[in-house]
Order: sequence, then structure tokens, then C-alpha cells
Amino acid sequence: MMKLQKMAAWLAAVCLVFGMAALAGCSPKTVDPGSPPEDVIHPEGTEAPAESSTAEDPGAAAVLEDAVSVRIGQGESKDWAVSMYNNAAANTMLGYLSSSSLLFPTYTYEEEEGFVAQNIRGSYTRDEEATIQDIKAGELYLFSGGQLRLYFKDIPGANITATPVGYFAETDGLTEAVQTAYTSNIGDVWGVSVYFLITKQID
Amino acid sequence: MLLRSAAQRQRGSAAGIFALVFLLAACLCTAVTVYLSGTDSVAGEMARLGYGDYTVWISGAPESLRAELEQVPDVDHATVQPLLFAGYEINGRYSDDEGQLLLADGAVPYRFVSEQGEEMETPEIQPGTVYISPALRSTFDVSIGDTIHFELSRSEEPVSLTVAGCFADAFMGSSMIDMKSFLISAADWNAMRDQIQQASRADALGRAGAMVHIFQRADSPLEPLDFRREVSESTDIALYTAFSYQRESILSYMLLLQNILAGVCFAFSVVLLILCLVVLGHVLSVIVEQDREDIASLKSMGQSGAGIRGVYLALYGGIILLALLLGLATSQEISRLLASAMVSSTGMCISIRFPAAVLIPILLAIAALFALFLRARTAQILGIPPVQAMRETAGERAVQTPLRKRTLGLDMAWRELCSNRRKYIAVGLVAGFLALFLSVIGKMGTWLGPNGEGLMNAFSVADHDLGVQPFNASVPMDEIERVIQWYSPVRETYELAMQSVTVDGQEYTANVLDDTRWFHVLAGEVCDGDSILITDTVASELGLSIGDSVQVAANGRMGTYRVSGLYQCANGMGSNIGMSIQGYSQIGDITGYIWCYHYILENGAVRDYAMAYLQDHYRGIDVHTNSWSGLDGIVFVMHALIAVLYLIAAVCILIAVALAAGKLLQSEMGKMAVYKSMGLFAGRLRLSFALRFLIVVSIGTAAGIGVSLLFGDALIGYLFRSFGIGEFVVGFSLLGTVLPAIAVPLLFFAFALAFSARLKQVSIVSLLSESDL
Repeated sequence: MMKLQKMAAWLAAVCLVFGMAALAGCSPKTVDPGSPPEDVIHPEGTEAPAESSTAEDPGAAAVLEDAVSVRIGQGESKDWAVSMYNNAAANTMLGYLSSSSLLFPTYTYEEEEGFVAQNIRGSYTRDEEATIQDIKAGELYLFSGGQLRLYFKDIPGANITATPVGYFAETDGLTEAVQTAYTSNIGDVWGVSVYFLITKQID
Repeated sequence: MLLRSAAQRQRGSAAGIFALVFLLAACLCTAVTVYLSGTDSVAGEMARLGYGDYTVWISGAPESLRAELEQVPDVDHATVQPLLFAGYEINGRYSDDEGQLLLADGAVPYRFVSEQGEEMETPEIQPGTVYISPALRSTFDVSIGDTIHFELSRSEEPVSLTVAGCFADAFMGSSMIDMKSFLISAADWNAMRDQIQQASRADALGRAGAMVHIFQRADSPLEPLDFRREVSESTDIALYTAFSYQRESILSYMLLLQNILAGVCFAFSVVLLILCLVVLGHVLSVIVEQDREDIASLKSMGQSGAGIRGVYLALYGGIILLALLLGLATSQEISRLLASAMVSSTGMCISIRFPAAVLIPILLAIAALFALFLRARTAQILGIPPVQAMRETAGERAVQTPLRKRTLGLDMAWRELCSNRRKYIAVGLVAGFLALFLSVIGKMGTWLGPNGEGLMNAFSVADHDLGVQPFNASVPMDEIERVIQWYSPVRETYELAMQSVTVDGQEYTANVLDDTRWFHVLAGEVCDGDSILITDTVASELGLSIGDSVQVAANGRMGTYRVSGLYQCANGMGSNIGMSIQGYSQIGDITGYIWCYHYILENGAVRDYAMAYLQDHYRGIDVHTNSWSGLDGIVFVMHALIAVLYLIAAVCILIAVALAAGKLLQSEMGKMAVYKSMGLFAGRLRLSFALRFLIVVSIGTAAGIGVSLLFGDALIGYLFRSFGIGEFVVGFSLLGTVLPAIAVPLLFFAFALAFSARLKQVSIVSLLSESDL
């Protein structure tokens, strides 16, 4: 008889313990992995950019033809086709774009040096950085600080170090389009130099 | 005499009913007292400290703003409470959010809280000291004498203040609210304000701001949302707004924990009330059945049926009244204990007041319900015929079912059940209701998760383990990402910006994602460049549905968007919308430091270590996980509540089994004695007896869990919508399905087995001796 009484008590206890254990819901405590070692924080070769190489031919890399269409200035209807290089930096940028149009403001306009620029978000590899001597209107470059530049003029002897990310397929009238957009946007409430409306055209 | 005799014979039943009704009264009165006292205390303190009909936290606003506000036709008046925003560090931990430093100049009469969680006299705040919210003590493990370092400027050392005590912050004191207030002396406040003002724009880390409390005219016909819209459109306040909350929103945040507690206790009280009625009905019918012979004898001796019935009514009515009163008295003490224990969650002392105007009518209604129920269930006494006639009608209908040697215990149990189905209906009903309630509570526990993942996901815009927002170009994000990768490989990453916008003139937070796949879409489609997502809250506030067009504006620019769908984000009680980066780019500047990088880690368990490392080693960033300071408290309370409810349920089962088993055994003594005389061991009889309970309870439990599976999610989802949580889906789970399905039948079985111990003493000889007497 004692056996049955014990059994009843045992069953009740099992129910309660089972319940409490399930209800406690405590996940196991994770062991502190400590702090990352110095070579993770400052790995060799990340302090300075990789040795710059003179651009041989950016076009040698595969090109994503007409990857993006761009309207220069607000209220403009002309779509400019932009081809992007199939490199890591360009692909990261394309990751931010979609088939919906993105209104992209640029705050830096340099008439003399022939570019409009804006710092962009994201982490970009500098592995494909190169030294470019002569720049043609319509070329897009990403600089080490994350600044994206569109050159709207030919700049011979520019001698820049940057990652080529793309180029305007058609450049006739590009200089004038950027200059007109800049002029018409003077006095913008945000202080924007030139607006671009960017739409990704590829999946 | 009859009453005394009845009380003696039925003391076991009476004690059981008393215990159940006492639990009911204690649970219900505690729920009501905590809810009403909490609401009164916090609302009263908010009004006393001058919280507006809605209050706007601003930074950098001109002094003319107040006059501008008071010219709005529906504004009665506006008050400005100056404050400083600054990041802070306590015991080596940096806060995720800025703190707000309040000026203790006596203009706002704050109350103070002692270390024991009781209200204390107002102290003189000395320069160099700071008073904090009690909720901060539990979050940062900070105690009196510790130092808090406030970062105001890059060019100056942080200002260090010593914690001197706690004050009751009725606006932001709750552990549910991440931003915390610090009350400091006028001398320190002025010095810190000067330091911020003297810092260059590039160096300034802190900023001066204010709470602007805006009061609506009493005769204003505008609804709260229309009033806010009018203020927003008639003044420049939107240009300086950091965030704003209506009084009801802050009250909801402040009372969230108490309301969860009170709500669950109230729901359990309803279940207990049903259980009480079921058990009382069962006990009365069994007792009347057992006493049928005595009642018939009394009637034949000239006693009226109404008189005999009065004895039962007086006995059980008196017991129920006594239990209700004792439960009420006990609930006040439990409420005080709970209020004291919750100071670190509520951030202020909840003053427990006896809500007589509400509790007394509730208890009277319950007493009246019991009285009616007692009258109904004892009506059968009136119909019991005198002795001779009764003997003709007495007798039970035995059902013959096969008995097999190998399964004798089970077969005997089944035969008894088939013969006396009515006697077990109450047990089945009790099991069904308990299983239903435990299953619903278990569903909530499953949804909540071991670390509060359910709440995290419901309140966050999109799932993530770690979020890092850089505030300037000098933040080495590549290095930070290497550190995160070292802690755990990153599975996914996306970016989120939370910006203030207006939708059809009403202010909301826009959650902007660069990858809209991460929104928790409930209905419709994810948004694109021409459309937005809205929450259930926004949909009901603005009367919008999928496909409607809205005007969304920010920073002086406006665009027309289509509502593409409903999504889940309870942040700000659901007052937010979802946008794509493309959509937001049409009205807002996407190039600033507004983006928070969200990381989903392969091993999310290391997120707290990664966060602590980043907070310790990098400046100019805000690092956070998917959690917030008050979450641990909610998770703990919820888990503790589930455990306590299981314990109370176990006590209910114990009482129900005690009452049912006692009566059944008493009525079956003779039969059991015969079984024993036929050579059946007491052990087998006990097992057979307990199996009857197991069979009935299993059927009841299956029904309860079935109902929970069918309607539980919808019921909880309906309740959760008031917190801005638009969707609740759990389905089959260990805590909500398996545990109650096992625990309820096993507890009934175990207790029935234990109570059947008296079968050991049954013998044919003792039965004969009793009848001889």
C-alpha cells in the first residue's frame, strides 16, 4: 500500500517539477567568449589601401550593361542609362537600389574639378581600387572615404586613386544637364547641389 | 441543531468550497485592486507633476514656442519643463539611450522613494549628487554611492555625479521605457547646460531641450488626434520635436507590467468562478443524493422541504460569504506586497487603496450569483418524497460492461463510469476549464519565449541580434564589423532608420528599411517606393485600409503614397509606419547618419558580449540588441506568474479531487468492501478508482485543449491588439499544448490515488459492524 501512496506523491511531484522546469524557460547561459584579439581589430594591410595599381582597363571586368537609369535634377524626364562594373563595390551599391526610384541628393558640386559627389553608406572593399590618370565625363568612382563621384567633364591628368564603379552609356549633353540641375537647385531647403533619381534596371 | 449537524457531517465539503471561493476572492480582488490603484497612482502623479494632454520632447526650440502654442484656439495652456539630454555610463556600462537630466528647482514637486521602496520625505539635493529612478537600479545594478558619468562634450571630461537616492518619475520611470530621468541640483544643471552651450557643434554630445506639456481646452470639441494635428499644423513645434506622447500612451507604458499581471489574475478569477460553480454544483448534488434518506425521514417527521433546504443554504451561503470576505481582506495585503515588489518595475510607489466602490458591488454580484446557484441546486430537496415513496424510487442503474482479468482495474473503472456518468461530469468540466486556461497561459509563455523573444520581435521593426548606429564619419564601421564577425558569423545584415513623419497630418515614426523583406507583413504586400506599410493602430486611428492613398510629410516635403499592407511593430504602442529607402528618399534625406546597421548572427547568444565590447571600446555609436531594459522584468514576471498559476491550478485540482473522491468513496464503501471480500487487493481497487478520474479528466482536458487550439490564438490576439501587437500565432507547443495535456490528467490521477488510501481500511467486517450500530 505504501507503494501506491509513494506512486501518487511521485506522480504529483513529477507533474510539478516537469511544469516548473518547462515554465522556468531559462536558456543555458552562454560562456563569455572574451575580447577579440588585436589582429582581428587591426589586421595587417587594412591601415593603408592595398597598393594602388594603374588602371589597365576597367572594362576588362564584366560590365552590367544599363544596370541603372538616372534622371538628373528634379522634374526632369530624360533617363540616362548607366552601366556598372561587375565588381564588389558596384554590386554593394546595386544592393541598395531597387526597381523603385531612389531620390539621391548630392551636396558637393565642384565645377572646376568637374564632379558632383556624396558620401554613401555601406562597407566597401578597396581591393579593386586603382590609379586613374585621365577621367572621362560620365564616369563614376568610389573613393576611400566612401565618397561617390560622378565626373560630368573630361578631366585629363586627374591622377586619382579610387574604385571605378560605372559609367554613363551616353555622355552627349551630360555636362549641361548636371550644370542646369545645379543651377536650378540653388536655394534648396536641404542645401542639396544636384538631385539624382536612380532606378535599378536589372534584377 | 440541524445546521450544526449538517456542518459536522459536511465539514470536508465545506472546507473545500471555502478554499476555492477564498482563492477566487483573493485572486479577483488582488487583480482589481492592483489595476485600479496602479492606474489611480500613476495617473494622479502624472497630473500632479503637470503632464499635458500630450507632451512633446523638443530640442533647440526658441522661447517663443510656448506663446505660439498658446495662440492655437484649442490649446488651454502650455508649460515648459527644461531638461538636458546626455549619454551616460554607470559601472562601466554605457546606456543605449540618452538620459534626460531634470532640474530640481522645486517647480515640479517630485516625490522620493527610499531603498525599501517606500515613499520618503523630500531631501535637499546637493550639488554633485543625482537622484535616479528605482527602475534604473535594477537595470544597471546601481546603488546609492555609485557614480554616473554624463557625456556632454568631446572636449571636456564627463560630468560625474554620485547617486544619492531615488525619486518617483511618473513620466519615464517604468522599466518599460528605455529613456531614464536624472534629477540634479540647480547648480549642476546650470553648469552642465553652460558646458553644452559652450561646446562647438562638432564637440557637443549633450543637448538642451524641454518637455512641453500641452493642455487642451475643456470645451474643445477636437478628438485627441485632431488636437495634435491642429497643434502640429498651427505651430513650428514639429521642427523641434524629438518625440511626443499622449497622456494615455505614457500611462499605458507606465502600467504595462501591472496591467499584464492584473489581466492574467482577472482571467484566472473568471476560470476559478466557473470552477467554483461546477464543484459546488457537484458537491451539492452528491450531498443531497447521500442525504436523501435522512431528508425523507425528516420530511416524514413533519419538517418542511423549505426548512431543510434553508439549512443547506445557510451552511454553504455562510461559508461562501466568509470566504469572500476573508479573500477580500487578504487581497489587500497581497496587493501591498505586490506593489512593494514592483517598485523597481513601475519606478514609483503604487499607493494601494481599497477600491470599495468597485470591489463591493463585484463581490455582492458574485454572492448573489452563488445564492441563485445554491437555490437552484438545492431545489431538488423540495422534490424528495417521504420515506416509503423514496424507497420505491431509489436505486442506481447499473451498466454491465465486460470485466477481463488482465485489465480488471481499467474495466472496473470503465464500468463505474458508465454506471454513474453524472457523478463525473463535474470532474470533467473542472479539468476542461483548467486545461483551457493553462493552455492559453502556456501559449502566452511560448510566444514570450525564454528570453522574451516574442515581445522583442513584436516591438521591433524587424528581427535582429545586434544594431549599430554610427553618428559620424570617424566611426570605423569596417573594424566594428570585424569585431562582430569575431563574436559570431553574421548571417544577414540590413539597415534601419527611424524618422519622424506625418501621415495625413498626424505624427508617426517612419521605420525605413533598405531591405523591405524584413518587415513583418500581416496583410497585403510589402511597401515599395510608392507605398507604405501601416500598423493596425495607425489603420484604426486614421481609418485607413489597404489601397488607400495618404500624404506623408517630413522636413517640409510631402509625397503621396499608397497603403500596400499592414505590418507588425508594437513600438510606440503601434504608432508607426513602414517605408522603403526609396519611398523615404522622396521626402527625407537618406544620406545622413540616420541609419542603424542591423546584424543577425549565427550565434545570437553572444550578442550581449559583443554589445558590451563595442560599448566599451568605441565612441560615436549607439549599440543595442533586440531587447530593452524592461524586458527582463516582464519575462521574469510572466514566467513567475505561469508557475504560480500552475501551483494554484494544482491546489484547485487537489480540492476538486478531495471533494469528489470523498463523496464517491463514501457512497461506494459497501461495494468496495464486497470487492475486497472477493479477494481484490486494495491496491488494485485504488488504481481502478484513480483510473476513473484519469479517463474523465483526459476527455475534459482534450476538450479544453481543443478549444484552446481552435480559439486561443484569436482570443489572445484580440487582447494583444490593445498593446499594438497585431498578430498572435502559436499553434501547437510544449507549454501551451503538451504540458497541460499531461499535467492536468496526471495531477488528477495522482491526487485520486492518494485520496483513495482510505480503501485500505475498508473491510466487510467493519461494514457489518457499522450497519449493526
